[in-house]
Amino acid sequence: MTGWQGDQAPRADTDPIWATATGRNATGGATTGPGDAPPRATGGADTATNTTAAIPRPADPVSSREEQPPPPVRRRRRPWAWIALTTLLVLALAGSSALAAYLWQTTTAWQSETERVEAVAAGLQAERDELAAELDQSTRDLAATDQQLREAQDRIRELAGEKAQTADEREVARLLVTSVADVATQLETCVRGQDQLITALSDLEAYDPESVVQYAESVRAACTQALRGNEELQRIVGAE
Amino acid sequence: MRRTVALVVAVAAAVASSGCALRDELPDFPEAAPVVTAAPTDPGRPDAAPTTLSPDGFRTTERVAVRIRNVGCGGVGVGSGFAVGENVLVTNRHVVAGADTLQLSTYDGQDVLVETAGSAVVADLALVRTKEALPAAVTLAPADPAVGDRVEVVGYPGGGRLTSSTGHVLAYQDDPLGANAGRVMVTDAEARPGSSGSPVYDHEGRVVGVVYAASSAGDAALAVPVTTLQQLLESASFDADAPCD
Repeated sequence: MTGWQGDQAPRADTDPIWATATGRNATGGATTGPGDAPPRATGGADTATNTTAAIPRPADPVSSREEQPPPPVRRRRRPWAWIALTTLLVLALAGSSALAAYLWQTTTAWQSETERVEAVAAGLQAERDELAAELDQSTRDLAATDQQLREAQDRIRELAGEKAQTADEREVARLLVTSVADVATQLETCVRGQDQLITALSDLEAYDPESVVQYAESVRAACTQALRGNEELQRIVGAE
Repeated sequence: MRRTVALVVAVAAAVASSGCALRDELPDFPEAAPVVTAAPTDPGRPDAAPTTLSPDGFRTTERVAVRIRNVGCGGVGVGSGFAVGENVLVTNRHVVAGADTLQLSTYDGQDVLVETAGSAVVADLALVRTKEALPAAVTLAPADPAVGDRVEVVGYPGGGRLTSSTGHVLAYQDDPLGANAGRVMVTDAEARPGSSGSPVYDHEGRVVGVVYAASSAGDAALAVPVTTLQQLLESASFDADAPCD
């Protein structure tokens, strides 16, 4: 294909550059311009022969058009990048694998440890429950023992008081018996004196009248004392 | 070219950063748990009693209390007392006065033989010495209690069982009965005939007075202050009592 077909083909009168450079008219020969594709052969073979015999020419446009188009430019590969990338990926894979193995082992170990701790905790919980039950029982036993102790103490106080009061009554009774004996003795003295006084009065001429009067006074005093003692005794007995 | 380098760098950075991050958060292996041993611990005695307890559970303030029976010319009288030594007890003068025989019994009913008795002149106090050892002895407080302080009286009111009553120090005043020189303590602790000679304790179980009289209603008592008792004990001014005729 030529690049000058169509409406955009420059004309010779308006494009002096092409005229000067090639010496050809605007209708033939290869032309180039700024911004165009690389120059390709577009003119006829006779024209090229006439103008540039010693100048090396590009390939014949006709024959070039019939050849296979040149292969596309292939970029140069950079193997070091792929090597580095592959190495990194391999390292990452190896690290991940090691990490996964480590995590798996750690998880397994923690699971085992957790099961062991749970077993220990269950044992401790059972032991705690048992101890708590024992503590409750001991507390109840202690409370019962304390109650029994208090009752025993109260009973000791009560018995001690009863014993002391019994001893008090015993002493009072002993004093009472002593008082009764004293009163009885006084009454006996009174009665004996009165008997003797009656005997004396029945045979008054045989006794000194003054002595009989004195004796009668002493008998009266003894009887009075005996009566007072008896009254006091009766009062005490009545009060008891 | 640039895309490849960027990819390599990104992969390297991702691997490095993820590795570091994981390394920081990696769980450690569990350490060997210590062997749990049930080490017995001493929980201590809860609610320790403020006063010493005897093997039978009685308080010292009760164990020192002594019941005194005065068998004399006027009949049988009953009073209280408390041990201040192994063979010495304190009571009132009027409790032992006119005694032909003094008979003692402890809180648990044990009888104790009396050796001698002596009374003070300036206060209604008396000392009785025993042949046998008394169960326990008390500590005398160094000073009289203040008005309003809480006190406890332990004795044998009415000659009955051992009892205790609590009250407060109401005042100090001159003895209305004229039996004591100096001022006496007034307390609202319950006391009755038979409480004479009972010890008055403070909140620490120390003797702060000796009861020697009670109101007719029994809602108040007069007591000889402990300072008077200490003075008499230090001066040993106790005269031997004479039996009744």
